[in-house]
Amino acid sequence: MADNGKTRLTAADVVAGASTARAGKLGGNPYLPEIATAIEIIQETPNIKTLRLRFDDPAVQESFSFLPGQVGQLGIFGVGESTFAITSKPSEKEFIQFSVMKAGEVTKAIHNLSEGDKVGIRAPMGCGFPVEAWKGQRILYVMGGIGSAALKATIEYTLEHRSDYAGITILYGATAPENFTYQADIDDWQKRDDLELVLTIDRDCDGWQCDVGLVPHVLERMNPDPANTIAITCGPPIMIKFALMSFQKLGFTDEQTYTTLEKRMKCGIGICGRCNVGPKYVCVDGPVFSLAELKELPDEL
Amino acid sequence: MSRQDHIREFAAAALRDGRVDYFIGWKQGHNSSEVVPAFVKDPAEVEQLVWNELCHHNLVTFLKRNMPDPAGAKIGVCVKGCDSRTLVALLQEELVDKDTLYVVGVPCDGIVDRRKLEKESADELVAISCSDGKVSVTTRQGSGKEFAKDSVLLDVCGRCRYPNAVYADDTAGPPVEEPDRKHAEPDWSDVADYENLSDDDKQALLEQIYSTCVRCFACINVCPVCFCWDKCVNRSRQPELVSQKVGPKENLLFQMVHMFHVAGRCPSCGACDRACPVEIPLYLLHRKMNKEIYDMFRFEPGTKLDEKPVFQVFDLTDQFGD
Amino acid sequence: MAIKYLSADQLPAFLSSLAEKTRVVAPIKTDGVVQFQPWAAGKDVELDVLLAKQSPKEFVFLQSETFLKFGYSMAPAAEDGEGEAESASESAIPCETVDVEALNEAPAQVIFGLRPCDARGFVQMDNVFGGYGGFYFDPLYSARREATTLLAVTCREPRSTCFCTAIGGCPAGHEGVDALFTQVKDGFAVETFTEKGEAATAFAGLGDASDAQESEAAEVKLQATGKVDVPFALEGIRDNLHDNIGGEGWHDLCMRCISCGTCTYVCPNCYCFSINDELVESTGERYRVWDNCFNPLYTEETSGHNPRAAKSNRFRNRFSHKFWYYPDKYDSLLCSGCGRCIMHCPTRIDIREVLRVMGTPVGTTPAQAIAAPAAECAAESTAAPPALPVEATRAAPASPDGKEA
Repeated sequence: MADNGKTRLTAADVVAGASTARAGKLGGNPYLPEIATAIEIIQETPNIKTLRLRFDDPAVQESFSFLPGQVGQLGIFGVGESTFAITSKPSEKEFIQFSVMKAGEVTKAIHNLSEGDKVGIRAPMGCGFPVEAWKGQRILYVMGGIGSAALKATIEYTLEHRSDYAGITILYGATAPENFTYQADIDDWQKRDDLELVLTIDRDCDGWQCDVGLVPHVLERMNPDPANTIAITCGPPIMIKFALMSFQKLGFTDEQTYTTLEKRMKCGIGICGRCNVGPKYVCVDGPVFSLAELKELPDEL
Repeated sequence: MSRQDHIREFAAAALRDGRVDYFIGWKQGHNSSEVVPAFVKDPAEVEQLVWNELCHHNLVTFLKRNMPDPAGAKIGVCVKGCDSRTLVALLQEELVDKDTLYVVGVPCDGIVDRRKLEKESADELVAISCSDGKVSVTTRQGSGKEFAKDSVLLDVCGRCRYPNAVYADDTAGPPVEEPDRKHAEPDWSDVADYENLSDDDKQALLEQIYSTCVRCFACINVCPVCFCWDKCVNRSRQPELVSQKVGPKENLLFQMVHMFHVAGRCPSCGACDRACPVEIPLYLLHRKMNKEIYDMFRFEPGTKLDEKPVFQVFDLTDQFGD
Repeated sequence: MAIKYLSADQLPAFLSSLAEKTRVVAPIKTDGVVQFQPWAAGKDVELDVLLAKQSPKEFVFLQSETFLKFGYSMAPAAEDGEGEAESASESAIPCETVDVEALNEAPAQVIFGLRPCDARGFVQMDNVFGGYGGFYFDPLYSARREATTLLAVTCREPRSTCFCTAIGGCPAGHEGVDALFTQVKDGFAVETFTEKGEAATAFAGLGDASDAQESEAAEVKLQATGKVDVPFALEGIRDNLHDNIGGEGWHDLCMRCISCGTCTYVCPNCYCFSINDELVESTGERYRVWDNCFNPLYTEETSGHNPRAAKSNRFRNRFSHKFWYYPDKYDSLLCSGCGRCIMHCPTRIDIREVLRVMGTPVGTTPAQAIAAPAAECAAESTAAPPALPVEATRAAPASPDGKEA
């Protein structure tokens, strides 16, 4: 037995409820999805839909919880599974929510779902954002396009626990006004006076009242103070790359800067070996990584 | 001057002159029983290049899409007769750029089949040398055996109709005697046993042969004319045409796809057969396919630069075989 | 532990007695090719050829394995008689339902005739599938693994491509081995290491070994160990791979690689897999199947972006996984030195050369191969690793609070 306390499990361990079998039914098979029904489908933008799903097993729905930033495998039996950030509020008890951009095989099939259809879910997975450790700090969210889905649950959590944080700023960019996800939530956010919200689109258009410019440029114009602030970004790879560079320019340290990664995944539970960046699996060591951690890894993003 | 010396000289000159960024030949592997492809960038290192009866690799596969490193590199390459036919097949379809290539043809007397030698001894072969029509083999535990070279050649070599490269910029030494192709039909006797089976027996044989396939893609990747690489039908996910499951029927379809897609370009060089880690007789079906093509069209793939592969053209005057 | 002896002519009877209760798998030569296959009475077990073409991992970690079956149907709305439908039209609309069944077959089996490197490969895969270090537990592999008994045979004549001793293994190693058979005059000296091994060797034809047989076995092991070359120094490889991550050497080493999957599929411990669904009309299955990191599409994302589009990045990934990434997670190497990758690679890419070149400190000339073999069996001098299954305490889970800041 290695003397660092690490051991292998046996089937008996798992039946007894060893906590590593946390996806799917405890004591069971982490490859076996929970069946859920689509109860509401919202067309967010021309190619993004939000799905609200309810587990068929009431006990599972009752006991389901997740940490902000965690993800899940949403799948359609016969088509396959894909990994998506859980975008419901962590305090939401009635359903689990994912926001899906239509891109390939699985997401196309997800976009073809109707309310009442059945899906399989294996969740929660991965590591969430260290929101506990961030208490007392200011949080700066910088997101573009579908990157808002990866940060949505965390935004909701920090807003729900607003008094735990010294400040919240959201910079959200989209290519055009119709491409903002979560319009209803944005309306709510705009009404709050305890949060700074900056919306920006790439090119100006009639009727647009807010900022114009690419996210990294707008970020630098905002010139946020890095003192006591955590900077988080998610969006298309090119946006992340430039946002990270902007954070550096503004004086944020690697330890203050976070992002969440995306990779082709299959098992989602750190076994199949596919989603690694160097020694880290995006599905269990991530998807959340600080820039300090990323700099240790091979350049294979 | 030996052919090996010619190769080294050509390689050194091409590298010194900057006509190529790197030169592909063969070199000794981890012991003298193995030869591996060699990539030489420095003219001072051409001494590692060898030419002997173990040089079985078809080096044309390193010219395929995504293989040149860096992309667009100027490449020198050695080709035997069979290899050159795969190069001509690629050139016929303009899949490689002639202007980036420097081709050294190597006339060939036959390549030794390492598997035939391995089957004669349970112990590992650690040294193989050939001279005067004899092949000498030494095993790890020190025992030695000798074979007549003609008895341990690759099956492909026994039927070779193109021992000299059909396309080359330079040739490593004098050509070997060509067989009389005008008056001698190709020898298809190796597929006779298979042809004489009933349809049911053929199905059963193929399923059995391919049941050990592990879908490693060695055959597909080592084949120079199997050009689709990452866009292969066998890998396609959208649509998924060939199941990723591994079983006799799925494997059979996998191999059929490969066979049909190289039909008209495959000269039966046998590289696929040699690459297979579980020794599936892949060569058999490609030979059968090539016999069909020859019977139908009198076409031998990859022999004339100005021809087009037989399935790439439609000619109203095509005469079908009996 | 008493050493027993089985005479060679008793081997078929021994295997037959096992075959009465479990499947027996052994290396068998068919048409000149040696592969692990189900054994039946009358088949000869091939032990003169050192290694079967492939490792026996496919009998525990199946090459393709269906683990979910499902079927869609339309079910009428519930007719439970309690309450009324909100509207007549709601009760008339049937709903889609899906039935999902999980599969997990784990027949009892004995694998006889594998080598210590093959057994060590299982132990290395056990870490991954057994949730070592707080990861998930894979019930598919683990059920089959627990139902499998490994009866290994000492390598009397290691090959020139073997390098087990360089990485902590041994031609007579017993990591993962339930019972070890060492060929001596006219038979085998038999040592058992686990309860499974005891159970499998409870055969009437197994008597106590004589002193002469015991000492012959010890001599065979010692001689064998001395015949394994040590082609590189293991120490420092992990850190040097880390430092060499951007090195140009990867390009040169992989020029002749054709990016197939042969090395991964013949390896006793490569374990990466893919998961696919198939659906025909309304029924289908989800299965997993071996995949390999040389597959050009392995990491290709739906957007078309591929972090490992370059062959040299894929090449670097495999070796780094085995000697850096996996050790960081599982405190073990992911290689047992069997040399099959060298033997079967279509262009004989040599892992020893790769490690020697990329595993040396940046800016240093790689050492030449060390031909002098190890003086003693490295595996004997380390603490015996746990035999499976272990009575494990619950592993500490990954931090539930998310990342530590």
